[in-house]
This record gives sequence, C-alpha cells and structure tokens, in this order.
Amino acid sequence: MLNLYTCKDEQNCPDVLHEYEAQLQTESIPLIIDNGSYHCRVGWATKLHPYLNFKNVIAKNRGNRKEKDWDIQVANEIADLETVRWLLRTPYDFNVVVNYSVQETLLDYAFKHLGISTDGCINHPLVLTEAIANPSYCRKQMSELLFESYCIPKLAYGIDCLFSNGYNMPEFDLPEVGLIVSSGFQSTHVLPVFGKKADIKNCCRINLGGYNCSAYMQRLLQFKHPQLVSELTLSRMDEVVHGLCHVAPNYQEEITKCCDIGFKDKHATTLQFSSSTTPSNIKTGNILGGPLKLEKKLKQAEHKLYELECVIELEQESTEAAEKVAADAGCSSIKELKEKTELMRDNIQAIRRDLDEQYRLDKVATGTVKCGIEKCQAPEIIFQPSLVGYNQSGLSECIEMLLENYSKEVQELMAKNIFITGGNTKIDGFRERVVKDMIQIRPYQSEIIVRQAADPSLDAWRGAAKWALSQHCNWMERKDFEECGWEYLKEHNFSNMHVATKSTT
Amino acid sequence: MESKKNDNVTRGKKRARSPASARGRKRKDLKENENTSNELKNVPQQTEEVAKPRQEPLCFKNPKYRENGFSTRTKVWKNLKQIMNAQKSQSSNGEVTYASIDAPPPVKPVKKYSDISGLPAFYTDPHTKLRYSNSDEYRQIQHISSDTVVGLLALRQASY
Repeated sequence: MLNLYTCKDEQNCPDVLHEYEAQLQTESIPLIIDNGSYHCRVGWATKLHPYLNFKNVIAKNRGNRKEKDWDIQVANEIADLETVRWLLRTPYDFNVVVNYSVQETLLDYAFKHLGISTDGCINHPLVLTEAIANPSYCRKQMSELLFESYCIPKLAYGIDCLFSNGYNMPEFDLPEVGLIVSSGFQSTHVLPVFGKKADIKNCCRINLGGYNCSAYMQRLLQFKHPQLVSELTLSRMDEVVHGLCHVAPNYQEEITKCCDIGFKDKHATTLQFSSSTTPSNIKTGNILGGPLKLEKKLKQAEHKLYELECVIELEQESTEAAEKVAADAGCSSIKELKEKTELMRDNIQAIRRDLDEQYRLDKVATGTVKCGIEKCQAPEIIFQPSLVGYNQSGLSECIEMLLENYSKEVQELMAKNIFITGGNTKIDGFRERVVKDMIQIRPYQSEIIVRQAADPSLDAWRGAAKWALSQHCNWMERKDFEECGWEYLKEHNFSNMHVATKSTT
Repeated sequence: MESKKNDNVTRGKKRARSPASARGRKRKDLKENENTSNELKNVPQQTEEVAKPRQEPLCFKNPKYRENGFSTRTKVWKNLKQIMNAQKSQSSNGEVTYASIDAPPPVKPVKKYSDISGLPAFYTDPHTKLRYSNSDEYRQIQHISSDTVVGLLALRQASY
C-alpha cells in the first residue's frame, strides 16, 4: 500500500489593506498584537479573529551597498520564502525580540494594513504579548519604540499562554491551580499557575520548539537522500512535520516497530514534491551513477559492434583482408568473429533493457522520499532533547520536577488541570503522550485531566482581546513611564514579573 | 583578454577596483539587482525601479522621532546572549531572570539512539564515535565518508 503525500508548497497571499472603520476610531478600541517568533497576529479587540496573521519576517535585499538601496519585503509580501531564505531577517533572537529596526518595519506594516490613518499617532491602547521572563532591557526598548514612534495612549504586556488558558476557561480567568504546557516555534514552556497567577519563579523552559522539529526532520531526510538536498526545504518540512508526523505514545516501542519491514511498507509515507527542478538532478548525474554509466557502456558496445559489422562486410568483398582484420581484432577465424558479433548484439540488448529499467525507476524515484521512522523522530526531541544534543530535561521530566515544588494536595489539583497550548502542540498525538507520561509520573490511579486549547495557534490572541475589554485589564500610560523609567511594568495576573535592573554605578 | 580577466575577478567575492572597469561594474551591479528583484516575485511595481528604499512616510508615525535621533535604523542591537549575560551580572540571587527558568540537565540517564537508523544504540564506534545498533549498521559506517560522519555527529552536537 503506497501512502502518498504531495507537498502543497502553498504560497503566501499578500495581506489586504483593511478599512479603518469609524467606530473603531471613536471608541478607541484596543489593538491586540500577539507577537510571536513564528507568526504575528494583529487585530481589533472587538473582532473574533485577528485581521492579520503573518510570518514575522522581512526579506532585506541589499542592492547597491554604496547608495544604501535596499528592497524590503515584509511578511506576506514574500510569495515564496525559499527564494529569499538567506535574506530573511526576524526581530527575534530565539524567543525574545532583540532587533527593533526589524520590529519597527513589521509594526509599520501591521498598522498600515489595518488602515490606520491618524496623523502622527495611533489613538488606540495596545496589548502586546511577550516571552516568559522577557528581560527588562528588551521590554524597555519595546516600550520606548511604541510610545516614542507611534505615540500610543496606553500599553499592556502579557504572556501568550496565560491569555490562551484564560480564554479556554468557562469564565475568562486563570484557574486557581493549574499547569500550562506551551510549545511554540522556538521554545517550550511549562508554567505552573497558583492562586490565579502564574508562578514564574517555578517556570521551566526547554529551548526547543517547532523550528527545531522541522530542522531535525530536514537533516534526517537530507542524510538519507543526499541527491534531494535542495528539494527538502524548511517550508516543506514545516508542512510535513505538522501534516505527517506524530508523537509516539511509547517511543522505544514505536521505533522498533518502524524498523520491521512489513510495518514499514504498510505505514511509511512517500513524500512527493511537485517541483520543476527534478530534471536538473538527472542531468547532473549525481543521483544514480546507474543510467549514465549504462549509457556509456551502451555507446562503447554499439561502437564495437559497428566495427565488427564493418569487418563482416569487408569479408564479402575480399576474404583475405577480412581475415587479416579479424586477426588484428584477436579472432582466429571469421567464424569466430561472427560469433563474437552475435554475442555483442545480445550484450547490447541486455544493456538496453537495464537502461530502460533504470529510467523507469528514475521516473518514480526522483523527487520522492520515504518517511518511516522519521515521522516519530522529529517531534520526539521535545520529550528527549538529548536526541539533538541539548543537555536539558524533556517535557515530561520538567513537569515531574515542577510538581515536586508543591505540596501533595496542590500536585493533585495541578494534575487535574493541565492545559496544552501553542502551535507546535497541534502535532498528532502530543496530548496523548503527555497523558501517558503523566500516568507514569503520578501515583497509582490518581486522576489526570489534560485539556488542549480549542485553537492552539489563535487562542492567545483571542484571550488577549477578551482581557483588553474586561475589567481585569491593567494599562500603563506614558506618564507612568516618565515617572518610573522605560523599564516600568505594571504586573497583573497575565503578565511577567517586574525585575528591575540595578544601576551599575 | 584583459577585460575577460577583469570580468572573472568581479564575478567572485573580491571586486576589481580599477577605474577602467568602474562603468562595467555598475552595469553588472544593475543586472544583478534586476535578477534578484525578479526572484522576489510578489512586488511587480518594484521590479521596474531596480532597488529603492521604502521612503513613503507613514502618517501615524511621530515625525519628531526620526529628527530627534531616536531612529532605530542605524543602531546595532545586542543579541540575546549579551542581554542574558548583562542580566546575570546585574541580578541578585533568587531573582527570576531569563536564564534562571532554563530547564536543567536531565536527572535520569539519557537513552542513546543509532545515528544511522534511529533504533536504540548499544554500541559506539571508537573510531568515528557514531552510535550503531547492529552489525549491518557497523558495516555501513565503515563505508561512509568523513563529511557524512561529521554531519551526523553535528546533528546531536557531538564533535568528531
């Protein structure tokens, strides 16, 4: 049974320029930005969906260095990321924003596409998500950029997974006691919630995320198929990891199963690439030495046959001359020469048959990759970081470790209230694996409830929107910053802790 | 022959700075720009004008921001490692910093997997340091090139 999967290679559609509705202007509706290392989601708090959902990258093509010309394409203006892969810039370093010029370009893009047309300022309060334990230095730069360049009236920061959790509760609020597992693009966090607040001190961050899964998958397939290195792009790997991969409930069992040939044939998926570059692979002759070698052999054999046939023709004219040539060719008589010719002909037929076979295989083989064990290897790195050489505990070990910081009663309550969110958790079997690992950690027959966000990618934005319009909201204004400095942060249930940097003097 | 030589030099990374080839160089630069901007398919109006900075001023931005020299464009930004180190040196014990929430090394011994097949690996090749699970894989290891060995080890951040 052939499980065939063709990579879709979807191209980005440019974003629409939205209309700046009058109602949004007069009522000063909050603007919600879920700023992530993978995608940025921007929209108005009163809407159900973010108006914009774009990849948080720009492609900066330096034309003429002297004249400082550059062609910048932002986010969804880039149709195909692979053509500009080496020009991509992101404001992120890992999961924290560090490059504010790129961030400014992306914010300009977002506000422009929302249709904002006010002069010299943006008259809307802004809610922005940030990383857990975001350094104060980074927050300071961001606040300065937002207030100085865009002149927003009010600002609030929050943590995306907390917003997502709040949104998925019956009434928008954090649970009394719970545990959040958030797996994103660059990192995975385990965050305990205690007393309706995030316990950031006891949070744990594994430095692996969806990007690492895709990159690992790419390297695994590239090693096994060196001729298809250029076909196995990161965008395709993203598609494959989210479409085909699954998290094995029991990794050891799964990989032993995968290596059994019967299982492999049944369950392995053949990836197909709908690309026009595959013919060039054949021409370089890198793939199979097979067809080219055979072609050469065929040519030589045909040439020799031609020579022998010439001799036979010569025989018809003059036997003596033919005999002489036959002797030169290494045959004792013309009869032997004729026999040799026959053998040559058979040989050539055999080579032709082999060549046809090779080309037939080529047609099937080029541009296809068989994925068996790789389907469960790639997502496993979150649970076993040692697979990629990271000296960190896996997800289940982190959960076990964190639970031990609390009393037995609290542990029980937490185990009944585990919440999974983040784009990377959309991989098949993620939730089931967490359940299974929890069963191994917790005492015999204790209760374990693991819920997943309704929409692991967008619920953070929706949660932030709901929070902005609710009474929980806690805004910071420009005057607060003028009094306390740009590093100021007003803490609230959904935010980070404020850690002041001491002056070095 | 002379001009051909110059062409070869300009095509590589180092560019010939002779004044004679300056005009030729400029033409070449323009050609290169056209090619790359044609690749960026989705901006049809910009491919005609070869390479232009985005200069349309956006109305909602504070015009005084640039004038007062707060511009973000020319600044050199610190990377995360530098920020983390700065935070570490400035924070006192017990405070939550970006680095303090990093997951610790595993307590349980890690499981080893074969670099060739992904199966549990019981053996390590002392020569290449690759892990393998059975004799067939060992035979394969003996035939693979050193580039592949280095690549496979880099996959799990081990050195040769």
